[in-house]
Amino acid sequence: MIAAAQPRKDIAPATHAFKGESATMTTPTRAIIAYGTETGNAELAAVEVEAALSPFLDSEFVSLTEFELDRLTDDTLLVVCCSTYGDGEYSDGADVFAEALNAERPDLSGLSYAVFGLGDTTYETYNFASINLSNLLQELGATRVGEHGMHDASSADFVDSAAQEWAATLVPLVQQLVAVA
Amino acid sequence: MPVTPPHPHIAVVGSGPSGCYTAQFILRQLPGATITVFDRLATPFGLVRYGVAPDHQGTKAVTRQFDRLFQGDQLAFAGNVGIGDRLTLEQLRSAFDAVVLATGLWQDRRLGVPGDDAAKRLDGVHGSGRLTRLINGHPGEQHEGLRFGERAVIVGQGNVAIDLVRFLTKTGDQYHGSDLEEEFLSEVRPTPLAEVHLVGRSLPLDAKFDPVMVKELADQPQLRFEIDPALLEAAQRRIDTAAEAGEPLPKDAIRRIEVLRDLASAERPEATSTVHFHFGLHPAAVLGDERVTGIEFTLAASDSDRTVRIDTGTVITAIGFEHELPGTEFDPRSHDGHDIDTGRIAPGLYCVGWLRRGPRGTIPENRKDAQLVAGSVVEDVQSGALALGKPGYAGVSERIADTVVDFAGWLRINDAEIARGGADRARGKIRDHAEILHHAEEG
Repeated sequence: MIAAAQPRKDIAPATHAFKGESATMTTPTRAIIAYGTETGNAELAAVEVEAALSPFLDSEFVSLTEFELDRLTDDTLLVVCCSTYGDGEYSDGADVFAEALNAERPDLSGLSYAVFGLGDTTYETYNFASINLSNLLQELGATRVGEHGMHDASSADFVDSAAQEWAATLVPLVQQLVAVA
Repeated sequence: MPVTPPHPHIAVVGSGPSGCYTAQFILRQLPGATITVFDRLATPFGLVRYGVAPDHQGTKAVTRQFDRLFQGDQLAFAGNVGIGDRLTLEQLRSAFDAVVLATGLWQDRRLGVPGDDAAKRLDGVHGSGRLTRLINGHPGEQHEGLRFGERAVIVGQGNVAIDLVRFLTKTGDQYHGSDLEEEFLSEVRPTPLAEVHLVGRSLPLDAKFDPVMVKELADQPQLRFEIDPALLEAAQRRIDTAAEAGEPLPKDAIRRIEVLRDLASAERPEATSTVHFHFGLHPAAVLGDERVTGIEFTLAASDSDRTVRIDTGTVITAIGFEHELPGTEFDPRSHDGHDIDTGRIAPGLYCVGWLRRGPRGTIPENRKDAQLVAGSVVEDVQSGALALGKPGYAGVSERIADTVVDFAGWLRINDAEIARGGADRARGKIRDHAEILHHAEEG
């Protein structure tokens, strides 16, 4: 079973962490775009996010199946793109990532992250995985940047377009940060 | 000195998910490759278009990935080209450095009991694959004379069977946003069925459906459910005993019992259709002379001769698919020295997806399969095991120039279907082959 089977309803609204709301967060100098996917759709979203961020931050694109926790250093902006699979479960890669976080409980109080979730409103477990993962990262002290992006596969919107739009809202926050640094 | 990347010409036969994913994975690792995906239909995406239920548009959205690939320079679509028909497999293998068969399995398996065996299938017995194609507007299927009555028996409890439960009981307005073949619903199933019996060999803990699929049935207000409480209690006892012994049963099995209990306990005074779950039953005979009048089962878990009989005019088999051309060159196992485990079936010839591993698994599992077989192709290109230098598409283009539908042609068909769908449907599929070809043409 997933550790937190019920997603919290009180997802915090967009945090504007770069305006100094988090006392502990360190200014990131690079981005890791990590994806957990079953069908490749989350990977496609991650490709778009990487393309949007790479002009402003040294960025890297990686599957969560190959992700090592020691890469979660404070100078990193972690961008997670992940889908929900089956009965509200984590997609391939997101499962081992969450398992590792739960097992090691690293202190992520200096880490900033952003999250884009893929789901399908045909199922009541819509976006459970990205919500649970986001909650877990916050529990460990990480600070979310920007809105929690979500794409509904049953909508008429293409996932890559939705990811582009979401990434476009993230870019000004990143630019702001680069200007500060 | 820079090394020139290899430029293999690769053909994939079949544009369903396994074929498209294989092309995707090969292109990632061999940026110099040129790939043509052939399909006997003029429209791409195989089971995504004609197998995934029309009310699961979210699952169908996976085609967005392939849309992008086909609009690039390295991947081409060659629709309306049957291999073994317009081109022989031999001609294809002479033109391409590697050929990957991704033709799937689409022939419905028969029950293999009197009334539905190789010799005879009674009228009123239908395969789930054919029905799924009809519901999805497949151009090769006709529904004349097909009409469901009040009660149907579905044999098999996999996800396809659950798709059919929804189809047999949903009203047209519950299909908002789908790409359901409208005419089929109104002619073949004008009103929702009063009774659907869903019969499986397994006991509830081992039933074949994914829990999430049955949970989705709970969201259908028109349905009420009948499940033998004694079977659920027995399953629960096994779960509890295993847990106490420190060897808990698989998560999916436990979840399956949870969702079945939820269904059984739901109060549904407004429901118009009843779904009866039957477990542990083996089909023994489909009854009737020309037309089916009922079906008989034996109890799987008992030595007694006890049988269970359900009277019905409609039996739907949902027990899997088989090769329609066993023993031919399109059957991977017909090739001497094949290595099915890696997808290699002859020099330069590969197989992937359901054709390789049997008719099991959803899109994610076949994506993994595509990754594996793409790896074999890439390895053979890089190791030099495959001699490159064949002409590729140019070697066959003249033979098929008059009929082939390319991706631009598909996009024109796509536009026409989306326009036909109107506000209420994701698309209105065109069933007529000539009309499909008409829309594929430019201008």
